[in-house]
Amino acid sequence: MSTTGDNGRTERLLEVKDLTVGFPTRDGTVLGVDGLTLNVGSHERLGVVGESGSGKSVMGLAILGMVLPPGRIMGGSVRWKGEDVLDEAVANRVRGREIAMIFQDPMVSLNPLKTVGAQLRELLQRRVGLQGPAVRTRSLELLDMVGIANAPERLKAYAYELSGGMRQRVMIATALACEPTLLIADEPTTGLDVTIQDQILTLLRNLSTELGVSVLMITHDLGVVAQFCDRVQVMYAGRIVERAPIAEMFADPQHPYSLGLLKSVPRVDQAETELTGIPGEPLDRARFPPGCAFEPRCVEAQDTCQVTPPPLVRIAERRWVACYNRPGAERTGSDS
Amino acid sequence: MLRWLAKRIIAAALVVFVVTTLVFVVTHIFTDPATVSLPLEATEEHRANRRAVLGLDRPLSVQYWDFVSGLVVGDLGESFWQSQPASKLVFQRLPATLKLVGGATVVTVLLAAPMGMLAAWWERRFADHAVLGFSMVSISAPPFWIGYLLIIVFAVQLGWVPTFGSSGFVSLILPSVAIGLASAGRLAQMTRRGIVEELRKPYAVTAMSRGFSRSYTIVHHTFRNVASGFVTMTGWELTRMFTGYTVVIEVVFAWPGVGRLAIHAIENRDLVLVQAAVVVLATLVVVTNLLVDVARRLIDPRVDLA
Amino acid sequence: MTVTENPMGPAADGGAGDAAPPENATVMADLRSHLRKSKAGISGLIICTLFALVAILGPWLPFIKDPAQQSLPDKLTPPIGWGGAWSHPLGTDQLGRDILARLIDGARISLLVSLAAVIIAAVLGTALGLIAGYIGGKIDTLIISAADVQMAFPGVLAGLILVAAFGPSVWLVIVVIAISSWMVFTRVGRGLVFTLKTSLYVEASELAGASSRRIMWRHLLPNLVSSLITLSVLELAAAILSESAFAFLGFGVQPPRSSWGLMIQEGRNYITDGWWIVTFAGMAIAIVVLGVNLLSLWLQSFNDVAEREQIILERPGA
Repeated sequence: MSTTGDNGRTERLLEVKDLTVGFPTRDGTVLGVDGLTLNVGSHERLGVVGESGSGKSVMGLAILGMVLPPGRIMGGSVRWKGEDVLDEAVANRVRGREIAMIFQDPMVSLNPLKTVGAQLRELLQRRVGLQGPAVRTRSLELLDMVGIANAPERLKAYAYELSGGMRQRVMIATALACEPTLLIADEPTTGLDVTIQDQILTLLRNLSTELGVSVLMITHDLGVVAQFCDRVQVMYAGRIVERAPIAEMFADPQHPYSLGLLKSVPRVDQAETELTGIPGEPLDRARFPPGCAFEPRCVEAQDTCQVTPPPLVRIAERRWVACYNRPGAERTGSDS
Repeated sequence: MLRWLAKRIIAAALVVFVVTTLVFVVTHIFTDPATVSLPLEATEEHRANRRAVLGLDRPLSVQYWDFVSGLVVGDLGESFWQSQPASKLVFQRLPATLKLVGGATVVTVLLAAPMGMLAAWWERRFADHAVLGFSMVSISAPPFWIGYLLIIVFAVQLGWVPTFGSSGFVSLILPSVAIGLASAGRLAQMTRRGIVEELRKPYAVTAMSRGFSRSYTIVHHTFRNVASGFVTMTGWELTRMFTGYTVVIEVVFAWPGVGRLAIHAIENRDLVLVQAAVVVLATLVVVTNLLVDVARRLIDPRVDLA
Repeated sequence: MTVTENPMGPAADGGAGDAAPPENATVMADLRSHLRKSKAGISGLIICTLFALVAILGPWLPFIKDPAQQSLPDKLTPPIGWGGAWSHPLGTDQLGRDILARLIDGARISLLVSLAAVIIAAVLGTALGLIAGYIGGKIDTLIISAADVQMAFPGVLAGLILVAAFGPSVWLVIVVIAISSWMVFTRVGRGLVFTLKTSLYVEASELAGASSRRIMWRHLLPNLVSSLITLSVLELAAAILSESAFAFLGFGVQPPRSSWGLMIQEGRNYITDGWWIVTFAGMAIAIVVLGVNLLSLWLQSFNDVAEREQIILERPGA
């Protein structure tokens, strides 16, 4: 089945199934990503939200078949338009050209010893195949597209000569250089000023609409998700605990963790609600409990939660949750 | 840059000054060139005579002033054994030592850079382990022994190269390799680690996520960033060569350099000549360190060398 | 001077200092389970133990000949496999002395000298590092400048001048190796003190009115121990190599005593008709240094995984 849900024009691009990434440590293998399943359709903006250490960043790279040693992909599949991305040959074709990624810290994500122009040129010549004056024309066009004024000057600049927001714009320009179909954005606004954050998000939204680029937004910030995404998945300890369309998630979160996340974020639409944190410490990844990973921090925990992790089950149209306290769920069927 | 350079040069000169003073303390206070030059059973009268001849009966402060002012104009005293100015003898031998260090550096870099890159490219794979194995063995084997093994195999058994002496390019090969192997083992590991660490940095991850291959990223992205570290460490190897490897290797290959001169001077109880050779070698170390800092700064303007 | 920083990664100083002192039993258990997994550690430990035993038991080993026993009719007998016989498994030298016996005898000098030098360097260097790090100020500047100068004036140069001044001796070699190694301990010790100094429990005991000396002795030293052991093993490898070089140059033990470096010096005139003298003596050095290096690699990986392969290849001086 290649089309589902939403408004009928969505075509499935990225299908990640049971993706598991492990890191060997002295105490055994720690799973950075544990049985991740997600799909991104065309023209879709999916958010993946979770706190730091929940495996979000590992996930972004793993989707491109990249895991920093000593970590490795231990199971599952990543399919891009039906092709296996974990196959190195496919990955080489897909990386950058079809799926491009932007990262959290543009200061260090741009090569410190190459000018902006050199980094764009390298991509345009080597990955797109442009030659001669077309390279410069396209470089200027890209900088223009991401809203960088005085583009000819900026081509000569090094990353350290640019402001944080400017660097992230350059980063986006390099990501768009090969005209990808999907953009994976890993915390693209973290560390930026609030006003700049807003500009970058607006830029990303406009670009995704104008260019028809799907976006997989990885963030810890529910505000970003609310502002940007169509659909959201909540991640905890490498696993997806809840999946819902954006409006429903904010209106009626099902998983206790999602509930906690929402309560810890100030809302403008609900005046005078009390902000609460989630009790307990973020999980120490080396000490995995056998059952639900959230159980030690969960207010609703019961005995079964300690034994086996709850499966992700469908509780309503386009709504999935992994919690024993949400009964009446169907356990089969394809998702989204 | 100029201010920085001036500061560095002054610091280097200071180190040379302290080192030469230490040398003076050993050679003039704890003992003296006259005593060393005479056999143990020499009479006190004999010794006093010799001291007078060498001007060692003057007050220490005068001798020290002589020593320091001599250094400034390049006068390192008179060799007792050769009856010639020590500086002349040392500087005659210097080109041979420099040639040897040059050859060894070429071998080191030619071995270390590709091996380091290869090991980083195939991180935690066979090539990586093989390079680590090579490095462990090469840093564990004494260089002079490597020198003899090379002589036994290539000069004695195969007869490809001359065994000893300095006769043109061919005779440079074995001693250069003997020194280069040890340095290359260390440098290859450091290059590997530099690249591997660099490959984990976000900018390299970004490059690879754009579809550039690991090898392309190593060559076109990380290597320039690793280069300043590489130059520094090559510099460290150079100082090791000046102060250790060349001395033993010159003895092994009967190479007419400064190190062998120093050993011969010791055998002939010529303290002044040893002192001259040591001062020159120590100065070379300091100058090398200085040049390395300059090179680093030129390669990577971000390097802060306060 | 910039010689001591590592331009390609985190500084070698610091190391295992940030952890609170772990309980001994846990450390030993961890060490054992870690050792089982590490082939390098196992091989290093086996090599080192073997050489140490041979060096200690030397004269009492069965079937081993007298290393000084000359026998001119037997001179330059090749080893087994090249026409030799079991009477001299590794052949004989130019005076007909048994190579194996001389190697075993040489092990004592080579290892003893290196060990003594490293112990002296470790004790002195660490003391200076503790003082520099803990007291700071002018004393710190003085000590660290001395370490910098020492870096520019490595062991062999000091060896040349001292041997020229005082003549060759084993004691001199020990001193020379020690003075070319102390600053490594000083730097690491000082770095660790800096990180530990600010940590809570030192502050607490300062508040409780403990004297400086007591603080250093009771709190800082135990934390240093694991790093210092690792460093000592590393320095031992360098020291064995230095000792062999000095012995080879004729600076150390004098004949008829034997050391591996000296055997190479004596055997070098016979490389055409007695290649085994030089080859086996050098092999002994290379193997024991390799063993120590492997052990050190393993200790480093145990101390801090990220520091693997680090310090071993970075030691300045030769």
